Amino acid sequence: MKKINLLGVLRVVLLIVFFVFMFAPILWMILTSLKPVGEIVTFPLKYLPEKWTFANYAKLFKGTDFGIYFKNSMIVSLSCALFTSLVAIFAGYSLARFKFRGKKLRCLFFWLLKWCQLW
Amino acid sequence: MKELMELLNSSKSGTKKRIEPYLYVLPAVILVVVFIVIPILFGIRTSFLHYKLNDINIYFDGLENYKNLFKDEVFYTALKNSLWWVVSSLFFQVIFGVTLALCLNKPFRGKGIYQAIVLAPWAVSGFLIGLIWKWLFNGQYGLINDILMKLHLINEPVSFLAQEGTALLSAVVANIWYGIPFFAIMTLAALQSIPEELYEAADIDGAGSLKKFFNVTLPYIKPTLLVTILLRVIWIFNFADLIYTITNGGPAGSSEILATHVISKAYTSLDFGQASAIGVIFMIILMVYVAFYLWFTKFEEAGDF
Repeated sequence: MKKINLLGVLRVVLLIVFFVFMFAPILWMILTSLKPVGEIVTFPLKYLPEKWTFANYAKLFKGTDFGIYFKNSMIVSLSCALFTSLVAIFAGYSLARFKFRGKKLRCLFFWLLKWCQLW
Repeated sequence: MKELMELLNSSKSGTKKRIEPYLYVLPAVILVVVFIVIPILFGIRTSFLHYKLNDINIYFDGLENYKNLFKDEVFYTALKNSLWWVVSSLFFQVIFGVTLALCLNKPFRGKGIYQAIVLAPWAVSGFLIGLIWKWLFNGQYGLINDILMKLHLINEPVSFLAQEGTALLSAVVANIWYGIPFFAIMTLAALQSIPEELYEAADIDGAGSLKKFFNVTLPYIKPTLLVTILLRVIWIFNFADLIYTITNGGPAGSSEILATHVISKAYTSLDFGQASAIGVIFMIILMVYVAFYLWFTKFEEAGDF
């Protein structure tokens, strides 16, 4: 009974450690985005912004072509996902459903290519 | 259902039936040939060319690119770093990822939110991760320096990214962080497929937690782990984003891996011939690795394909 408790405690400790380690960089990014430029480059560091500001976001939407970038990202990812699934559905159906000559070879071929390409 | 299929098949003419499976595969084959096979062949050809962007003469140069490559010291550093980069990143990604998955396997309050936050890095682009960690490792305003100084582990800020010893190490830390969610997700999925009865049976047999882990849990997640590790090694080997953004191979090429060395050869030295030669060697290494791994793990038994 005691052993189970020990494992339970270890689990909670690990969960907390993982949370801190995984979330800290993202939290730091969020906090930095809310600081005025002057506060970002001070030493010793200030963890929380003294003056919370959305100026960086305002600059992002007004000063850059954020809309265009966003639109391009959407076009690339959506069309890519749509097109590849469409092609893959047919190929997968054929490879799974039919028996034909060279099937095994073709499976291996696809498989190796997938694994060998530069991502 | 079966009768229906037979009815459908019998209504077709012989030839149509025979070419049907090939027809379905055709678009995929065309795509693969156009976008992967042809570029690879083109790259292999380029590796035998004298092909520099700042030189108007392009001509066949035999094995000159390869000869120069093996004389290049940075290439050996990159080779060594690639190995170190893959092994150290992968090792900790697997250990931490599996541990996290084991921790997440039992329900607790707020698990949904916890998972969403902890596994979030998986969905973030490599370049963004690189920029975040570059900032964290910053020699003057970096959070990591600040924490280490508060803990009195160091007395003054260390410029992690500008020193030969720590530049690659910093990138490895970032990569471990980036890879943990991936392993956690894959392992968690495998863990949840383990039938509860097995644990009950193990309980009845009086097995302890350690025994249960090694005799029930581990055999069940082994196939998943093998496939994931295979995938991941290649992925990490190819993963240039982090090093490119964090150190850009510096200082003095000391944190260059093969993947970033290709980029710097092609776009800094503008020597496409050399870059292609590295690419070819790169590909050979990966193919040898895949063949070895398949043989070693008898992949056909472990996975279904």
